[in-house]
Amino acid sequence: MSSEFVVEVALIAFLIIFALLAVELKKLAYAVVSLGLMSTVLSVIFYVLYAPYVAVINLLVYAGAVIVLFLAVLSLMRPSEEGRKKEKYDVIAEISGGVLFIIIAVILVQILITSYIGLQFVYGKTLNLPSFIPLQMQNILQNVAESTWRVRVIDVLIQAMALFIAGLGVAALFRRERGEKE
Amino acid sequence: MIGLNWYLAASAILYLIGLYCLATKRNLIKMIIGIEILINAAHLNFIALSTTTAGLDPLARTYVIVSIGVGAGVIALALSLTLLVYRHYGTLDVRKMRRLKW
Repeated sequence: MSSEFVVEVALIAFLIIFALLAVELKKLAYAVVSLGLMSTVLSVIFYVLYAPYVAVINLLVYAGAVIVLFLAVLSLMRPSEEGRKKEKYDVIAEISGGVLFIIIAVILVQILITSYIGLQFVYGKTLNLPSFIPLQMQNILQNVAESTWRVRVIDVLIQAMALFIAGLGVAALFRRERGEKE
Repeated sequence: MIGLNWYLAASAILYLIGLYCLATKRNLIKMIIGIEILINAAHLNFIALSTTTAGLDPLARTYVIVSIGVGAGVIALALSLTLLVYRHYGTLDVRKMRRLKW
């Protein structure tokens, strides 16, 4: 049994455990954090499956933006907890926050590299990737960048439009009528 | 990479967890979490099936990238609706939302 096998099976096990925790935990804040951890593990699985772009975007959108949205909505629903005592969970939250910060820093480097590849399809020049990236990964990055920016440009534009419409929809839902007071 | 079957099984289990969450939970936030787990299961299925020993399919990856963006829009809209529902009814329990009139 190779170490690769053990790591991948462990990743799948963590994925399912965090999904179950997200469904079954009573406190909504913990359930949301568990969902974020599930998305993070899923991103690592995408990376293992040679899908670095998908991993980065999944980490940014699902483990980042969506979780922040969930927590913002939860904080709007509950009374302020500023006066509460410091619980033991706060220490765990601080440690996991530090670990998450390191992961995000590593991912940011990856994003810089991937956007560097995307540039060549905008400016029409061939760019050489840094040599510390393995050759196999370089080929994958080139293929997916070409597929996204050359073959499926319209889809990407439609996606940008869909996100814009979703933002407008959210803004419209929370608009105030003229003269309405909070 | 371990066999494809492992990932397909993981995807199926995730899908079942999402369906279970949607069927049994009555909290709106929990139901949105269930929807997100369902979306993630579909993405895992796409990526696993596009990664074969013969080669990689970049098209499936692009589909998943587009789907992630659309899914995030859906979740954002659902969460804002949840907030409005909470302000109107004072609860997140779907059983107590009987009146559709605002």
